[in-house]
Amino acid sequence: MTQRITDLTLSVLACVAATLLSWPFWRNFEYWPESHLAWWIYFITGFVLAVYVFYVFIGSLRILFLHDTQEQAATTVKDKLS
Amino acid sequence: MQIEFQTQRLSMRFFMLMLVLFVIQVGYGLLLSVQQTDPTVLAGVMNFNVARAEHLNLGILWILCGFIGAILFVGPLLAKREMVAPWLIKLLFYALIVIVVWNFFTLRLAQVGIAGWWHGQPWLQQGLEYLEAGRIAGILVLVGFAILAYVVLRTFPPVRQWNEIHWGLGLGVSALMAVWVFGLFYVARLDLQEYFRWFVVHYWVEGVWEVIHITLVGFLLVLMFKVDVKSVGFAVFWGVALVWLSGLIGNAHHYFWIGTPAFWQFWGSVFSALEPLPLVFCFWHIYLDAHVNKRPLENAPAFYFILGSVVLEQIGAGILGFSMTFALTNVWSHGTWVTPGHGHLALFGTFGMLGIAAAYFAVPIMRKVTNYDQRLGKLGFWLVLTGMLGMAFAFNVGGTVQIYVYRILGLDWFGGDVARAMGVFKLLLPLFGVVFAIGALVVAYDLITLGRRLAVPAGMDAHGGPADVHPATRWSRPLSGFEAGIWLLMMWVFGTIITLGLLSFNLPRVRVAGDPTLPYLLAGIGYPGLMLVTLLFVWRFLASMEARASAASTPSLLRVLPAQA
Repeated sequence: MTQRITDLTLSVLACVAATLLSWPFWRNFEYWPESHLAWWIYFITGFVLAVYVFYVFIGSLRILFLHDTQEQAATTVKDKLS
Repeated sequence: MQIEFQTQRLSMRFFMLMLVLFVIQVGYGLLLSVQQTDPTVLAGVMNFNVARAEHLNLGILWILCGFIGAILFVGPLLAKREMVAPWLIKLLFYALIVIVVWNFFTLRLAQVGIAGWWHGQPWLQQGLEYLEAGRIAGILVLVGFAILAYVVLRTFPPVRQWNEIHWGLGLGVSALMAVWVFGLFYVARLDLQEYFRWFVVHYWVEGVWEVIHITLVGFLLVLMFKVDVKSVGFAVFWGVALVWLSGLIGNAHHYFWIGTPAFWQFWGSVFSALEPLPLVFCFWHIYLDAHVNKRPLENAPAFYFILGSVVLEQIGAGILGFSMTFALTNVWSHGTWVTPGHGHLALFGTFGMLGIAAAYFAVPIMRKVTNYDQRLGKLGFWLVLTGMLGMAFAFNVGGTVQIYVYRILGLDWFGGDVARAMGVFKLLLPLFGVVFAIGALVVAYDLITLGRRLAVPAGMDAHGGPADVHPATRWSRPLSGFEAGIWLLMMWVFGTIITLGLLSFNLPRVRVAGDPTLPYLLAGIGYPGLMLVTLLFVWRFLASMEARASAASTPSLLRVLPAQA
């Protein structure tokens, strides 16, 4: 659980940084002027999806390293036996 | 390793065609760099825009040749049987030559203003950037992709027996064909056409070629290092998943400033920021696979180019791609020399180097050369790597000057103002271009004549170095994961400096007062730092790998067990 919370926190922080860099160049709400709500839905959906992608990345990278550790251990055992 | 299936030999012709087209493409690149410094060179004979289109199109075609060659070589190994319908592959080869020749001549029609329209379609050449080929070539390409997809999918076992590598390659060849369709029709509304153009250009590169790249890198590592297929399968699965999770929406960074709705700016930026994630994943994947069992490097040039492919992907597509895809940075960088700096590293590095790596892996096996002189291959690698990093440096710093002079000061785009300001970098380009071209010639000569020259001289080891090398420095000690992480971090630190440099053009001090100190300073630290760190990291990684080769006695090269696949 702690791991998940850490991963989620890291994902959120990374996506906050990405969002700050990604604010539209024109910085106003001119395209859908009739509804700021539509804009907020758009921003929030994008942010949540981005957090998900980052979270998936951290999880899969951790397992990649886990495979490496397991393989290294297996190779060491094999070397000792031979 | 010996050839297990005779149809694997069909890949040889594609690798040879790849090398010929590669050298011609580099020739066009040199011409372009000379025309940048003196626009009158060959004016009216081979205009800049035509030479550029030839350079781009040949670049795509030779990389495709490399991909096809690599897929044909590994396809039977993955399927554990001969390739079906070899006659179709032979037909594909001749069709490819027809496409190349057709494309070569019809692109030149642009110079005299002929597009060859008939029934509302541009049949000879259509002039859309990156998709200059006319409709006839487009249809032929589609047929070629259909042949490739048919042969690969029919050769593979039933879907229930597929592992992740089969899936990666199967999806790759199918999507290669499907995505091409978007470029096959003409839309009169230019902003709408731009969507479809970018569907092809971007989804091809980041949605399809990346998938094939990840899969082929993984399988080549299985063949070279006897890496566990399950671990590679995991890396391929998540690599492909992350490519699609980020790249499919990340494509929207191409929709800025071309008449498409401005709401793309947020999603286009934020998902583009995530696009380096699969590339970081690929970086660790190759590090772990190459270091897990300490196996000696038997075919050094093949591994050199695989590593080059993954590292240039990291800095060209990942870091430089990251730095310029935010709306706030892209507004300055798009359409300037900053773009080809990223594009050259990403396209040649990621995909070109992989094709060359596959050729270095497959050609000695097909020619039954068990102990070939690897020195030329290594020399060629270092020349093309240094040349390409140098060209990227010239493009990027020249592009920074261009942004300031053209976008901030508003001086004349086509006139002499910009040209004079960028003068040094316009001269650096052919300089590094020559280094790259020599490397390309060395690689082509080495691969074409491999097995037809003398074997390794007496007293040398298989890698062409003295048999008992005792390095004086600790540069060749094993590369730990922690150290690899530090190198990666350094690359990203310089990438951040580059990003801040592009962002600084938004500051009133630069934009209004016209003070270029900050962007110039940040670019002056960021770009050379990134290129240097990359060069040193590749050197360090390979020194660590080479030390294994001299430490272990390797009686036979290329001992690889395809049965593991």
